[in-house]
Amino acid sequence: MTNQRLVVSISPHIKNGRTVRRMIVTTIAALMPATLWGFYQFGLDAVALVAVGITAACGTEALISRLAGKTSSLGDGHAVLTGLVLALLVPAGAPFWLVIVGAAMAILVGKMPFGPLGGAPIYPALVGLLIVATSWPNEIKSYVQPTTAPIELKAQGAADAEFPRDAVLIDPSDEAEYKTADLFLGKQVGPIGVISPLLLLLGGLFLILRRVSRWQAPFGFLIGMGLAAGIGHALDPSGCASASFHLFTGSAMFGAFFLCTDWSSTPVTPWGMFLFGLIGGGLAVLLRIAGLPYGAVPWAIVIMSLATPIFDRITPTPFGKVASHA
Amino acid sequence: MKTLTQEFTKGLWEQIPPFRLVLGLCPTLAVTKSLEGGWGMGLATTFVLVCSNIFISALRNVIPPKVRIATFIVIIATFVVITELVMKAYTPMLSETLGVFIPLIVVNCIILGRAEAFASKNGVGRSLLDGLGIGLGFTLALAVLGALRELLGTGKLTMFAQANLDLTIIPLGEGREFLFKFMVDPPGAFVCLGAMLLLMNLISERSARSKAA
Amino acid sequence: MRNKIWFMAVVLGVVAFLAGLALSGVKGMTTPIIEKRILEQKIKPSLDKFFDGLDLENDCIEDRQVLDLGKDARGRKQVTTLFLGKKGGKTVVAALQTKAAGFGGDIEVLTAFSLDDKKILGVKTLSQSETMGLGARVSNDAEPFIQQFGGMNYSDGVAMRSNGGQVDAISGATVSSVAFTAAVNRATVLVEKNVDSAAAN
Repeated sequence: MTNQRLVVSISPHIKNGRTVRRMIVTTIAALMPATLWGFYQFGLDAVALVAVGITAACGTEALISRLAGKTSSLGDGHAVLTGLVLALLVPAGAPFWLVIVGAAMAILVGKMPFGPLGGAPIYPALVGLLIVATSWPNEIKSYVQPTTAPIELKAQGAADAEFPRDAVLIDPSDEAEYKTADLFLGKQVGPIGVISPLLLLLGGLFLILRRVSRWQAPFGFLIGMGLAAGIGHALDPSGCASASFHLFTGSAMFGAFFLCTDWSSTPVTPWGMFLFGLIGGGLAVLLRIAGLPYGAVPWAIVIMSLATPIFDRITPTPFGKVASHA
Repeated sequence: MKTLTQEFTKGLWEQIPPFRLVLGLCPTLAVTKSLEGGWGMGLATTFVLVCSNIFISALRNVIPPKVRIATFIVIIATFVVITELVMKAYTPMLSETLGVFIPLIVVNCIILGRAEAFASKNGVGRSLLDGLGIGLGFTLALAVLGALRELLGTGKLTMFAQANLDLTIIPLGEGREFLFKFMVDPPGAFVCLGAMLLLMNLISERSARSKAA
Repeated sequence: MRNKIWFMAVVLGVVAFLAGLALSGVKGMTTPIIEKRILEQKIKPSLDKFFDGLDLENDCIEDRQVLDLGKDARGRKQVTTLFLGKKGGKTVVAALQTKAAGFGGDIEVLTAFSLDDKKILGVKTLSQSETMGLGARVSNDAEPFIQQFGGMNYSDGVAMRSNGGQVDAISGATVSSVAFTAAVNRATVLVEKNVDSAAAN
């Protein structure tokens, strides 16, 4: 076993001088504007939650590496990213233990069993998030009033912007209260890191320009959501909010640019990525309308991740190749 | 040829059904929400397994090979229904906890597997020991898995609800209840089963290494 | 000889016969115990709850009657148990057990009626083998599906909303809900038909 010359590792195999560590650091940097906006809107509670999330994820990863007798993979920063993403998807009023359990579960169940990096079939932070969300459905909705928001945080349900069903079931009069521009600029109630579509869009475009992620999946996702919401709104304005409302609330933008672009749990071919996003976006709107109590976007992306192997079969035909009839 | 003791003990570790044979996963995942569900299901299965093993090995020279499966199923189903009725009469709460999974013992592949692979080829004594060993191994596995999930999920251990033998292991003060629903939900069953498999593989790897050294 | 067809038939037949014999023996032994247990642990607490505050004069468990429902399609005798509560010499409340075929087997239901204002006092699932998490929710007394029967007027019978009735199904468990409602409806029919004559006795 010691004279292995060729070591085949899990994809991505692109070799151009970039390292995994740099890609992850770039992703974290792209998340920073939205994170800082969350800190501004929700104050020290949000800072503490993010710190706790990152610490818990790194601690779990270090512990498991130690127990398994492997060299620690903390250096690539993936645990930091996982903890950060998890904390950003949790509202600022959530208890600390919720984030700790979520981050630990993300690493323990979502990441480590599939190899340290690149093998996870579902985005690890989403695994952690959905485990805690299904276990403690009330705590995961502990929203707090942001510093600047045009409307007061009213009854829990009415203000749950993420919360698909509630968001969409708001009276049309309530929807009018949310001005699209306010929503876009991040003056809304929601989890810490996802309330500012503008900053997330900028961060996502930065990632695409730095070639850390591709454009197909995020834009596919946004188009899918827009189409589904547009059709739904045209058919039944009282049952389905408008496309812009769907796109600018909840974790739609976050999901599109930071969850649909994960390296290991989404397809690798261009058409595969686009279809993954398109169907995922439609599914997210469907879940928002037809009734998940929590987290339509995360669930839609998790469901699509499970179908990733199917999308990966949609490969471009090499130039000059004739379809064979075997 | 194994000794009689080995015939019995193989089911407890070497061939412990859900972990090593990876058989009987349906009840393993479904009823291990609580310790009580785990051992209750395990003992019910053990009873059916021992009885069907005895009868099938006693009749092994009479049963025509072509209709053997049909005969096995009739014998197994009989003992399952007996178990179901007796449990309904004497352990009603346990029987309600296990619900439809008691009749489903008929299609538990451990039982038909032992009938086909062991009881139909070996004597009554050996088949009895085999059934008892495999059954108790199954019980042990289910009880451990049930205890793990219940403890992580609810902080309690229900030994036997009918006799009020519940233990609260993780107290959280007045009026607050510890509930980690994921662990008692179906996905938690898979995660806990995976953790148990990991643990078993670790232990056997360690012991194999220490034997080799 | 073991490969002869008649021998196979004989072996299978003998095994099946012995199995049947054993089963009928066990069933005969356990049935009275199970019935007594259901009566004491399920029916009595439910009836106490449904008839709470009515100050009935009689013990409706003691005075239970067996109602002959004739024979079913396969010629087996069908019976059910009728519980009557009296006040001032008049039968005011009644409860009886009915069943209907659900998704995984029969669902047995106890329905309690208030006879004067023709209202259902409550329903209770006595036994069921429906799918866990879906149909099996009928055995949870706090389930909205079960709760909705309380106070329902039964003079026109009960039916699912999809059939023009007043009962909302458990979502994802239509078959179980329909069966449950059918059992309750059967109880209303039986009560309408039998209770006056029973009171005269």
